[in-house]
Parts: sequence; structure tokens; C-alpha cells
Amino acid sequence: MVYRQPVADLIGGRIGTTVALIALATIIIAVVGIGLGLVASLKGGWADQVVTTIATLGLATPAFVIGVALISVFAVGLGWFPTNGSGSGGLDTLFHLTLPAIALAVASAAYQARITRASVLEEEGREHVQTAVARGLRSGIVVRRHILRNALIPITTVLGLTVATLIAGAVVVENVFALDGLGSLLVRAILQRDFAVVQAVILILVVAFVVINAIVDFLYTIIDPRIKLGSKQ
Amino acid sequence: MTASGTAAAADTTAIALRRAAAQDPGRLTLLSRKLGVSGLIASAVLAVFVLSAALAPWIAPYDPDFPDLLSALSGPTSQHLLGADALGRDLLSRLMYGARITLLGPTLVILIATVVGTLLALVAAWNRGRVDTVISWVLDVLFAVPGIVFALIAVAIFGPNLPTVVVGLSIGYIPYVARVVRGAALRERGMPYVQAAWLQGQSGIGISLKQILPNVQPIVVAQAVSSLGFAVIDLAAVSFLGLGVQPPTADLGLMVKSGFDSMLRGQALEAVAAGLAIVLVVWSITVIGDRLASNARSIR
Repeated sequence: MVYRQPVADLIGGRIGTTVALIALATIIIAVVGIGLGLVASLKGGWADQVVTTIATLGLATPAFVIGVALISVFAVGLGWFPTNGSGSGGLDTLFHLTLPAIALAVASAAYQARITRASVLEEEGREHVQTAVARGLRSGIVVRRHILRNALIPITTVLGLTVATLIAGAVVVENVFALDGLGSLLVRAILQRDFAVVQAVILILVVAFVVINAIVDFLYTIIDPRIKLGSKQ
Repeated sequence: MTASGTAAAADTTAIALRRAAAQDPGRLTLLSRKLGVSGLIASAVLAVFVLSAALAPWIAPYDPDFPDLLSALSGPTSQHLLGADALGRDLLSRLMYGARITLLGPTLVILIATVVGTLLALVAAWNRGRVDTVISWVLDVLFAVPGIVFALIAVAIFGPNLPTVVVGLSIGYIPYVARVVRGAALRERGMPYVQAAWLQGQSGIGISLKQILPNVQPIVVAQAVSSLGFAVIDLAAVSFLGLGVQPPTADLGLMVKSGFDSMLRGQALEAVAAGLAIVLVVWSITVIGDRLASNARSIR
């Protein structure tokens, strides 16, 4: 309305940036979050202490504070990355989206690390794992087949829910880094009281949230054959 | 007579004092056992913020809105301990006043969400059946929208200001409280003491409020404190976006935003101070919440 363009065109031109940002953040969360969680739970000792402390701090830091800090250090201070904009496609976009994706990922990666650590530790204490250790299986096999296989269920649940919350987080991060995505479109539309755009963007966010949750539910049946779709458990 | 009377009185005071002295360290160790070392540190950090926010009008060195343009963007000086922002307003004073909104807003959010969520949960758990189905369905729908989006919708309709954001955000937090409390209340509902109260002729409302609520109270409190940390982040994010509290009011989220602009002009102090303050507040609340949650679990 303010733009005098069809809402679909406004959204179509920006949705790619948001999706790329969320995808990049998800990869960071999966690799760093699960990785740190595994290190903490399997190595224990000081590694556990360090990871737990970092995770607690990471969880307490809002994405926009991390974004501002990243810009001040890596963009303004060291000049390695651009301060804003989403680049001109391909590798350039990836480069422009690196800092925003990190800012978006930190809190969720911290949460993912905590959940991964907790669920691996819980599985380690189970009887079937003790049995496997007592049978003299190599620790690698015990970890992979007996611990991780079962710990994977809560880990995937949280990863899925996390991706869903990233949708809301992206609204904030896009504004910090002046990315031209759905989030910055939404905030601008709210300030200009452009209701047609507000409605459309919020509809997309909510639908995406629901679809991702549905996909996670479906993934359960693949990870754990005991769970069936539509079962009462 | 009077002499012995005074002596006796002195004696009882002494005994009472000794008893109090014996009890006091006991209470302290109980507190430290409940909270742990990190919990105690977190409580201390939070206490500093709450006190400086509450006492801001008396202890803040300057009026938070007074522009001392000559000191604009100055670093720490003897006049301005933390320096001044782009308009020359004293940063330390603005931090203290900003902490008021940053603490009070989320507290209101969680208060509303906890009261409404707990009531919904108790109604669902007591009536079960169709009422429970309907309430759970509504909660599931609320769950489908991230909390901050409710705040944004509210702002889109009613314009950017703090009460709008607080109410919008609290709707987003209702399902998180209600779902946890409903589960706990359903467990209590099946306990013999609830049946006993029912047989005594107590009403459903009475039992829910006087019997079940006190027993799920530790879970309610733990959930409320844990959510408070997230509410602080969400509310600060909304002000950072310029959709919550409006300038010139001091608010930590807004200060990160204006500090971000100053940072691009070479003075990072405001952004660092405000950002650090938010992190410390959220960290201390999260640590306390975690302890309360694990205590509530061990009671069960």
C-alpha cells in the first residue's frame, strides 16, 4: 500500500534472504550446538565446565546485543565483514549473511548444547548402556549405537523447535544488520501502519512455524520406529 | 523484686538473642544450599540491579534526560563516571533509570501470563474432559505463534508503546506457564488428599485454589522465573526495534540501539554498558530460575 506494489511481490523479493539467513543459522546451531553438547557430555571434567558456562552466558545474551558486538569487532574494528546489506547473490550473499547468522544462532546453539549434553548424560546412565559396556563393546560403538541413537530424539525435537523460534529471531537480527528480508519489511510496515503487509508477513511467519513443527513430528517416525503418526502416546 | 524482674527479662532477651543467632546462620546455609554458589552470586548481581533501579531517583548522579551537550560522547570522566551519550546525557543515570523499565516491564508480562496461565491450567485440570480439551486446544494455537510476534501484532494495531507490548507479550507467554502447571495440577488432581477434600464437601474452586495451587506453587514460581529471563530479552528486543518504549525514555534496549549509532561514530561505551547490563540481568535470572526448577523437581 505504502509501496504501491502487490504484497506478494514485496514478499517474494525478500523471502529468499530470510530463508537463507535461517538456513545458515540452523547449520551453525546443529554443528556447534550439538558438537559442544557432545564434547561436554562425553569428555566431562573441565570441558564440561567450560561448555556449560559458555552455554549459560550464550543463552542470556539477546541476538541484537551479539549482533551489535559482532559488527563492532569484525565489521567496524577489523573490517573483515560488511556492516549491512545482504549482498548480490551467491557467495557474496553467504559472506554478507555470516555475521547475522552467527548472531541469530548463538542463543539457540547454547540451548542446543545444553539439551544435547543433558540427553546424552541421561542415556549414559540407562541400563542398556551399562549392559553394553559390561559386555565389553568398544566405547565408540556404545556411544554411536546405544547412546546417540536414543539421545537423538530430544536433540531433534529441540532442533526443530529452535528453527521455528529462529523465525521470530530473524525479525530482530535483520534489523540490526539492515538486511532486506521479511523481518525488516515487517517492522517497517508496522511503523508505517501498512496493515496489508503486516498481515501477510505474520501469516507467512505463523504458517512457517506450524509447518516446521509438523515436519519435526514426521521426522520422529523415521528416527524412532516405535512412534507412529496419530498414535496416542 | 524489680531487680530480679529486670534480670529475668534480660535473661530471656539473651536467650532469644542466642536463639536468633543460632537460627540465622542456619537460615543462611539453607539459602545457600537452595541456591548454590552460582545462585548466590546471581542473586547478588540481580539485587544490585533491582536496588539501583528502585533507588534511581535518589542515587542517580544526574537527571537521565538532562543534556550536557559539551560532554556528548565523552568517555568516562570525573563528572560522568560512565561517560555521556550522543546528546550528552549521563550514561550511568540512564542505565539506572533504564533498568527500571527493563525489569518492571518483563515482570508485568510474567505476572499477567502466570496468573492467567495458572487459572486456565487449574480450570482445565479440575474439570478435565471437554473443558480440558478446549483449553488445551487454545493453548496449542497460542503455541503456534512465537511470543514476540504477539507483541508485534499488538503494536501494529495499537501503536508503539510499553503497555501494548507488555500485554501482547504476556499473551505469548501464557501457554508456556499453563502447559507446565496443567501437567502438575493433573497429577495432584488424582491424589487421595484431593478426594478427601471433595468428600468433605469442599467446592471445586476451593480445592483448586486452597489444596492444589499450594502444592503446584514451586513449579509455578520456577516456571515464572525461567520465563522472566526470556521476557527481558523479548522486551528489550522490541524496544531495540523502536516498537516499544519511545525515546527520550531511558531503556536498556533503546540504549543499545542509540549506542549502536554512537559506536559507528567511534564511541562504543553506551552499547557495551547497556548490552552488558541486559546480559547480566538475564544471566542472573536464568541461573536463579534453573535452581528453583531443579528444587521444584526434587520436591516432587
